[in-house]
Formats: sequence, C-alpha cells, structure tokens
Amino acid sequence: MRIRADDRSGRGGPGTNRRELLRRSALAGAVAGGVLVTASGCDLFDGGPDTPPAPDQLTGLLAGTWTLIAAYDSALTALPELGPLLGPLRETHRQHADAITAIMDPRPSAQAFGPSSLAPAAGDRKAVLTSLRTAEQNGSRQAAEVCLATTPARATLVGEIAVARATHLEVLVP
Amino acid sequence: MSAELGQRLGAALAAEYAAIFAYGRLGVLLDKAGRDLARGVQEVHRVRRDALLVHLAALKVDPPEAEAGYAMPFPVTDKPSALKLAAYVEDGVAATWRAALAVTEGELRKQVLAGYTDAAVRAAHWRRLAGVTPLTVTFPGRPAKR
Repeated sequence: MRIRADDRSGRGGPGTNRRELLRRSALAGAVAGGVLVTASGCDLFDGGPDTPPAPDQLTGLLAGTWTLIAAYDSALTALPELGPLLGPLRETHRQHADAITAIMDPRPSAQAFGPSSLAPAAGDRKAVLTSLRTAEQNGSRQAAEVCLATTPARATLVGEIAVARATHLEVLVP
Repeated sequence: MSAELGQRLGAALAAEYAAIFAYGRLGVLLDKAGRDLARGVQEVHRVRRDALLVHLAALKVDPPEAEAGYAMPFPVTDKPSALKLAAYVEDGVAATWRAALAVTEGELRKQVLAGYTDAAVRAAHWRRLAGVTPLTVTFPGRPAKR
C-alpha cells in the first residue's frame, strides 16, 4: 500500500493521507480520555474551527480494500497468466474502493490510498489462490462486521462488499 | 421504518417461497450430487422461510402466501437449464435480502446479511457448476441501472 508521508495538504479535506488520519484517530482517543490538557487545565483542543474532523468510520474498510487490491497485484505480477481469472475480481475491489471513498466524510485523498508496489506473490498457482482465498475470507468478515455496526444508509453498500468478497471464493478454487 | 421493514421482509419471504418451489422442480433434472445439493439447499430456504414468518408475526404483518405454482422464467427441461434456474432463483433471493439491509439493525440485520450472503454465494456456485461466466458481480443483488 502506498502511503505518501510527505502529503501535508489540507486538514481533513481531500489531501488528508492515511498516516494523518491514523494520527488524528489516536489524538481523538486521547482527547476522549481527558489526557490532553494544558497546564492551566484547559482542553488543548477546544472544538473550534481548527479542530480536524475525526476520520470516517469506513477508513479501516477502505484500507482493507486497498490491501486486497495489493494482494491481487502481487498475484498478477507473479503469475500473469491468471489475469483472466483474477483481473475481474481485482476490478471489483477497485470499484468497491471508489464507492467507499465516495461516501466517506472527510473524503480521503487519492494519494492516501492507491495501488501498491508489493513484491510478487510467492508460490505456485495453488499457493497464490489459497492465499487470496484467505485474504477474501478475512476481507468479507471485516466488511460484515462494519455492515452490522454502520448506519442504515451505509449498510447496503457495505453489505454488498461483504457479500461480493464471499462470492469470490467460488472463483478462487485452487 | 416498521411498515417498510414488513414490506421488505415480506418480499424476502415471497422469494423464499419461489426458491422452495423451484428446487423441487429443478432437482430432478440434476445428477445425484446435484440432487443432493438441491435438496439440502431447499431445506435451508425452508428454515429462512420459517424465520421470516416469525419476524413478520412479531411485526404484526400479514405474510404473503405461497403461490400454488410459479411460472418458469425460461423452459426448464434439462440439467443446464436446471442449473441456470437455480442461479436465477438465488439471485432473486439475494436481491430481496439485500433490500432489507437498510431497514434493519442489530441481530435482525445480521440475519438479513446471512440470508443475502448465502444466496449470493449459492448463485455463484450454481453458475460455476453450469460453466457460466462471469460467476460473480461487483454489487450482488443490486438492481441493474435503467
């Protein structure tokens, strides 16, 4: 997964990168626990206009989606002959990433998540497909958990993603 | 949301009725392994049907009744058309469960998601057995754009 550590544009806007979102999440947790106070006892963050928004609750699901895309990229780099089998599944995850991104607030930047440059997957066809099956099973489980916890308005899309990942196991037959 | 919930669970029940009927019709056209699978899947649909009847009763919603017979969407005369019908009815079931996600929460949403997942996976499985591609779609059960 590509993370641009030098991306400092925006504050919760389109330029926000993943590392920044995670840092803010940690800060938000610390603030919630009353840890961050000044010497005078005042809250460090007063909720004013400069307070960065908390990362969207779909941030983890989006990160997981890009992890799946990266796994397919690694597999296709190692075994390009699997293109006809794996290409459509990778494209599905790509469309899922777009759909998740479109409803997130704040919207993550294109630079925060994107194609990776992982090493080619190791092993033969059977090993590669088995590894992808595991990734899809974990991804489906993650999406199902998010589906059960999210708002009604988001439940359908997240449910679709969980189900699509489950159906991929019918394709990934070693 | 309750009226909407009753309507969508009722639609899921109607799809389950149709699936139960279809498996009775298509199973006899499959080989032994296919027949055994169809019989098992038909029983799963009966369990879902019964669970939906319980939910609708709790909502005080009159459930739709099963039809005495269902028109086939295409001629079902042999193994390939039987496999195609199995995938067709599972796609229909998946679509109705999917539509109920947005009006449910908690334990009921969990059950709806399970019904949705099982149906979509079975549809892909029947397509695989039929040699039909693609096996999967990007957004299972989502209505096609007009």
